[in-house]
Amino acid sequence: MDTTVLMINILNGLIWGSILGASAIGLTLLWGVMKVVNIAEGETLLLGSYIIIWAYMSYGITPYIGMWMALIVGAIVGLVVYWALLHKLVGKVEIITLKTEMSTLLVMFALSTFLYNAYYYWIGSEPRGIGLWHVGGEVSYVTVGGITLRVNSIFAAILAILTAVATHLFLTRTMAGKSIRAVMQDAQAASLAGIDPVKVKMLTAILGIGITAFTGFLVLLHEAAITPEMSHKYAPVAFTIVVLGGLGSVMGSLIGGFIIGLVYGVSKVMVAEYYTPLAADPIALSTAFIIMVLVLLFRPQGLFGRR
Amino acid sequence: MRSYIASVSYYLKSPTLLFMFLVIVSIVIARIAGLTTLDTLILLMAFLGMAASLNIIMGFAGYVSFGHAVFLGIGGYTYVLLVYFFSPLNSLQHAAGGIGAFMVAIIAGLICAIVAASVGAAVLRLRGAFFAIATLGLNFAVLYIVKGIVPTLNPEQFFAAQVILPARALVHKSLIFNAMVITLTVILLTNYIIKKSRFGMGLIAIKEDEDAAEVLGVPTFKYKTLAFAVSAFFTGIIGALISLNGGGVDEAIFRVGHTIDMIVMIVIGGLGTALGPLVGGLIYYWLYDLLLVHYPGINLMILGVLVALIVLFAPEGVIGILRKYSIGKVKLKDVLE
Repeated sequence: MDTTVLMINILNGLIWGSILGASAIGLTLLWGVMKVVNIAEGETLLLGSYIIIWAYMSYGITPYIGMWMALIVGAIVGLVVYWALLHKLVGKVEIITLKTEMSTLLVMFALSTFLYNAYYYWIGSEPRGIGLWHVGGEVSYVTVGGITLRVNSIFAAILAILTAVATHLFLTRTMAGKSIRAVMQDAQAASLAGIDPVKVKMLTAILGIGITAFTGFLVLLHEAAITPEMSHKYAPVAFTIVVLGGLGSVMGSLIGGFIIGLVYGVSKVMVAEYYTPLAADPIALSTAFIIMVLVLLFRPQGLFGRR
Repeated sequence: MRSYIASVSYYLKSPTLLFMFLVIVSIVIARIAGLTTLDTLILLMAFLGMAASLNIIMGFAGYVSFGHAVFLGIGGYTYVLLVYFFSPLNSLQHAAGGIGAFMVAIIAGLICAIVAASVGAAVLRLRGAFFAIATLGLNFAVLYIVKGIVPTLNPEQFFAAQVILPARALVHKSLIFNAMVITLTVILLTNYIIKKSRFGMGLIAIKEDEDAAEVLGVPTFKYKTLAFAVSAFFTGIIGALISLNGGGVDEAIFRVGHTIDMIVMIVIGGLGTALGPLVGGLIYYWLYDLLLVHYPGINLMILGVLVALIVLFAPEGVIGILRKYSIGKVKLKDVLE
């Protein structure tokens, strides 16, 4: 087997994995705090990408500013989603029953259907991107020891790690972050200690969906062009990562992303080598879901989660 | 045993009449209707059948399966590959006015049931959102495996996992129509029987409170697995027949949109009712057609909003609301069940 090919695939897998890990942070927060699985994760991710594309292509606003716009719009969407869809179901409830959980799944499912078809209607199914814009100015590729990588992808991976670290610091060092973690662990005890669960849940929705939209920038950097269909590629893998990393664990989701990316890269090379190159990509993607089902069965709290 | 048979025959009394009526109507329709009408009816019945089969696991047992399209896909691919590679099955599907096609579809359904029972034995230990996510994961895992393996079976023909049936394997629409009528009738009868049986009561108990049901002696694990397998069996048959109707199958059969369709229909009709999928399916199909004609492009967006509104403000669905009312002295609750 060619070592260079293996190395390229492993590195690309790790880069992709870090992006996936960052995109799963919003999901893991929402899931951890109010047991709401954001089925519309892929669509909210693309919302950020589309805002950056729109700002750059129509008004020439650089994506460095565009990514903050994505964060703000995502936060507003989170606020609206919380008050319009979730508050009635989970707002005042301290212990969430299975029935409520089903209702939240269906509501988020409805949001996903709405956004997905809105993209098709207003933006269309053709690929959109930010053209030739890239991070390094004139340089678009770097070659180290025979391995060529895109500058944009490397930047996306660094930004993904920074996002995870920043969120982790927010959750561990600030009062608001600590109250989010308190509600995550025990909503009843948290409300006895004077924390308003409604406020915390609203904050989580804003933060979660905001971060998800923000990480749309990373997807845009890595993929170069966005289609609505991609929400169905990213969301299921994000669920996998949350399950792997443990609910509510930010660093867990980053590490989960790395694991999924690594397995993806290695199995792609293996399948191409020992079976057929035709089947390499699909079967490599399927490994992610097989890992998820196995983790769910043998360690349902995730690799880094606590029961 | 005797009382069991007596109770089953009691519950079957009116459905038997309904069944005979359906058989006569379907024979007449299959004779006189044009191809377009037949196609529309096949699609409508496929929608109703999908909703009714998902209802067994989602409506009664309360386990939301977000990847139920996986069984459509497994059924469709099994059927198409079977008639593609095995000529006895290919000749069987032309036999006996649609019953042959139904029997081949049963093989596809059985494979789905086996997959569901073996996967379900593991996955059904999970509850709530974890189960939903696991089934979604199953859907994508199978999709990617199919995308990887099917093209290698016949690299010249099966490009991009698309299998197109050759002319020898195609079946006339009236036969597919008959097979679909049989399937739908069996699914609705099964729903009705489950609703009335001890098994169905057990499933509803699982939905209400699984731990309490377990303590009271409901074999929850057995019931859940059985319900999941039965549901997958029927979904597989539907998948097989719509693939036959479409003249082939491609990876689009796994798309999440199919699962959305099923869930929306059940939610509109009312979760956990025998009639819900039927009523919800008719309303959904009508709305779908209406919105598609008048508001092309935004039709699915409107449906999304509709689902959110129903879940938030009328979680019982149409049947659930109708049950509360009565016409004159007749309580609608008694008529509907």
